[in-house]
Amino acid sequence: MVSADSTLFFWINGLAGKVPVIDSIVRFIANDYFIPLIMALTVLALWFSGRNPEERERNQRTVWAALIAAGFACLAVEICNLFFDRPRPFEMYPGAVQLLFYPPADPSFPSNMAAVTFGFAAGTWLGNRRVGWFLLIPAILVCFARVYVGVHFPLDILGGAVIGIGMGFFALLVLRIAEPIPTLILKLMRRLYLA
Amino acid sequence: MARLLLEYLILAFVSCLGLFQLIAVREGLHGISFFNRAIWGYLFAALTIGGSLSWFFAVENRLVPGLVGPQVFALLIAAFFLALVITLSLSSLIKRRSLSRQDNPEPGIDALRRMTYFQAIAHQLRRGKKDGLRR
Repeated sequence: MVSADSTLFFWINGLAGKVPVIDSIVRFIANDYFIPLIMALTVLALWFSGRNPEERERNQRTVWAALIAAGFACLAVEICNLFFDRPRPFEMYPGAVQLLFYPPADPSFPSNMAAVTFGFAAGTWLGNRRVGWFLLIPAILVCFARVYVGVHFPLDILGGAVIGIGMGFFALLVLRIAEPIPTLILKLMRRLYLA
Repeated sequence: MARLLLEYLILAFVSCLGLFQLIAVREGLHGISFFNRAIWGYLFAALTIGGSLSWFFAVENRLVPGLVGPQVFALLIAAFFLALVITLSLSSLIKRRSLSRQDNPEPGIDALRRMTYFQAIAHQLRRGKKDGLRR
C-alpha cells in the first residue's frame, strides 16, 4: 500500500517542473488561503438562497452541517497528529521530490486541507446535492495540487478525505441529536430577520 | 504573523461584503443592498471579491508558513459577522428613505425584500411592545 502510495506520488509529483505556467497555477491552488475562502463564500451564499422559505431552511441547516463538519474535521486531524507522525514526502525522499511549496512542519498524515475541504463538501452534499457536487471540484483540485507540489502523499489525501466525509455524516448526526436546539435557533434568527 | 492575520481578515471581510451585495441582487433582498440598480451590485461584488483576492496575493508571497487551519476557520467566521453587521447597518442608513416601513412584513429574511434591517427590527420591537401591552 505504502509502495503504491509512493509510486502514485512520484507519478503526480513528476508532472511538476515541466511547464512553469501550470506550476504557478497549481501552486496558487495549493496555497492555504484561496480554496478555503472560495468554499466558505459558497457555503455562506447558500444560507440566503432558496426559492421558498422551506427550501431556504433546508439550505440553512446544510450550512450548519458544512461548518460543523469542517470544524470537526480540523479537530480530528489535530487528534490524529498526536498519534501519527508520518514524514512529508520531501523528508522521506530528500532530493527526489520536486518541492514547489514551502516545507510544512506538521505531520503528513492525514491532510488537514483534504479533511476540511471534503468536510465542507460532504456536509453540503448531504443537504444540497447540486452545491455539494460543485464544492467537490475545488476540494479535489486543492488535494491534487498538494500532491503535485510535493507536500502530501496520496494516502494522506485519502485519509483526510475519509475524515472529512465521515465528519459530514457526523455533523448531520449532531444536528439530529441536538434537536430541538437547531430549530429554536433558526426560529430566533428568523425573528431577527437573519434566517 | 499578526500582519498576516489582519490581511486575511481584510480579504475575507471585503469578500464577504461583496458576497452580500451579490446575494442582495440575486435574491431580490433590496433591504440589504447598497444600490438601487442591480448592475451596481454586480459591479461592487466583482470589484470587492476580485480586488481583495488580487490585493492579498499580489502584496506579498503567500507560499510561506503562516496561518493554521483553525485560525483560517476562525478568521472566516469573524469576517463574516463583521461584514454582516456593516452590510445591515450601512444598507439601513442608505435605504432609510427609499424603502418604507411595512405593517405586515413577511417573516424572516424575506422581510428584507421591501424594508431595511433597522425598519424590520423596529417593527419587531413595536410588535413586541403591543403584545406586552395586550397582556
